[in-house]
Amino acid sequence: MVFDAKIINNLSKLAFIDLSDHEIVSLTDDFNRIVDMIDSISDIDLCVDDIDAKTGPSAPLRNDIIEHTPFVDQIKSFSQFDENLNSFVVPKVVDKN
Amino acid sequence: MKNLHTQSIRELIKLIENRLISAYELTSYFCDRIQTYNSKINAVISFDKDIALDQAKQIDHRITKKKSSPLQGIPILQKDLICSTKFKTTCGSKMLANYQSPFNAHVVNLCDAEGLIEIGKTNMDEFAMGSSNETSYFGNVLNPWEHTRVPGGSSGGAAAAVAAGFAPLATGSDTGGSIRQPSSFCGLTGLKPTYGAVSRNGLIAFASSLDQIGPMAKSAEDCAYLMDVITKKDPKDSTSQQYDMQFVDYLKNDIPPKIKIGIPKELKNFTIDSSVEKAFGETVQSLKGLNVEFVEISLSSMELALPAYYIIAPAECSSNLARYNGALFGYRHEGDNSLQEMYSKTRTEGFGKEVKRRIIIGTFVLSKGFQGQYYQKALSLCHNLKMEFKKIFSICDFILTPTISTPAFEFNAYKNPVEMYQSDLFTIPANLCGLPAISFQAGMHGKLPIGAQLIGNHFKDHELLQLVHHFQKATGWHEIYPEDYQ
Repeated sequence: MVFDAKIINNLSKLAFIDLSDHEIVSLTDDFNRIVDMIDSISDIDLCVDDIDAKTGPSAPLRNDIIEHTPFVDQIKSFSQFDENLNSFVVPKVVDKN
Repeated sequence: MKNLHTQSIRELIKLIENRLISAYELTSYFCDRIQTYNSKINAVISFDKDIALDQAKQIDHRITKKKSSPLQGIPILQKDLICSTKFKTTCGSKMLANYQSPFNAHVVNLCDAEGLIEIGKTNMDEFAMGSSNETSYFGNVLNPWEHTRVPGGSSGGAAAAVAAGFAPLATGSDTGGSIRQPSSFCGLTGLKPTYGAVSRNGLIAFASSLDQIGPMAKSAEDCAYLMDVITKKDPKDSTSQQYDMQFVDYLKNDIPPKIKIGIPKELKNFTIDSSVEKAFGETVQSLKGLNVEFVEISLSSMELALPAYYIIAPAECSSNLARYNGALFGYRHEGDNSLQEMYSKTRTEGFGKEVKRRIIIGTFVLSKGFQGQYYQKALSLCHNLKMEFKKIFSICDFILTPTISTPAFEFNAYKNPVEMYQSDLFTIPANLCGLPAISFQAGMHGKLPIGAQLIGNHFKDHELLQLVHHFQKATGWHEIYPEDYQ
């Protein structure tokens, strides 16, 4: 697999790290070298079929999608911003017992 | 009293016990050395003589009543990713440059209870990511043996400090060789204990399944003194295990007869500097003089340990370092921005280049499309490596390799990160399998020390220390000090 600036940019966004154009170019080079190195294990038959027996069952995976505004809006929808307190007001937890 | 920094822990204990020196005088001596020499090598980043001397006064007061523990009054330096309430805990990063921990790591509590005097914190690669101490936010550490050379990493500050005589003992942490490689570059003895032998509670995590705290000192015996203190099971670390052993006492015994050491035949496949090969050959001869037998073994997965490590460690680091977003710990980007902008800008400004690189690699290998291809496969490879070690330890007691294939290299010696990563080849397998491994000085190349590494089976740390102790009694390599710091 060959990495380009677009992939690196996407990965950095997933990691909440902003990269300058210069950093993206430099990191793309590094990344291709690093992935070349770690790719050496892709060719080996490690009996990955029985991987769960070796490493335990894997958790279900989320899609690699950067969710921006909806996430913030969702947080805000849970509580109102109080100008006087300069903070979000969180609803009180009611103990039913 | 002169040259206290060249005395062994055993000798310093005797001086205190016989009231020839007080804890205050001893602490003052080492603090003065830090004040005199630290500007040359930048090994210590948190230091306060008053804090150190206050502890020493209390210890002297305790000793006047009764000396209850062997290491009372002995100064120690803690690596700056081990939380302590006495000093800041920066991890060598802008992200935590002003972080004051509200609690002590378990290791620090044990050292305090023993009466060790914490005199400061040592510089390190940022978040322990590096093999040369060139990634610290607080600047490079210089090797006291030759200032144009790196001290190794990530515990390079600890290694340089002990080699320069700033303290007789230091703690390090080892995720892929971070105790052993700097020990090799600075002429020290450094033990990466069995995973679980020392609590990681209060150790700021890089890769939790690989990280381990361990001792760094001039000799195996000095390391054994610290192991006696820090190997106590901790309920706050679920991976912590009981290790019932009196390390210093164990060293007093003769080496058991018929010890077998395996040398991996795969070593021939790697480029090893001729100076390291020479020291390695001489180490084999010295060990044969102790009636040790050598056998050739095969460690075929050794070469694959490197890619497996550079998948697993970044994966864990990207997860562990997700917490540094400005909300809870350390640095925060200030400005009128959204929550997500605050996260991104905080992380962009707070982390250095190497940390960002590893977080992004981790993000890649854990991403949905690639997790099976990389992360799961790396875990599977670890399993195979463990099986291979299990077989090897059924036919021999230890494995001998060079610690690293070269003596200490110059600053900016590597043009790209992969070249630097490859230098960790011999140290990584022990971390992936949770095995104890020790680096000890095995020779010199000009002014530079060269190390060798012994790997043992789980919870055979005491046997590793014992063998190295007898090797050091026979060879005396551990008694050489850097010229400018004698």
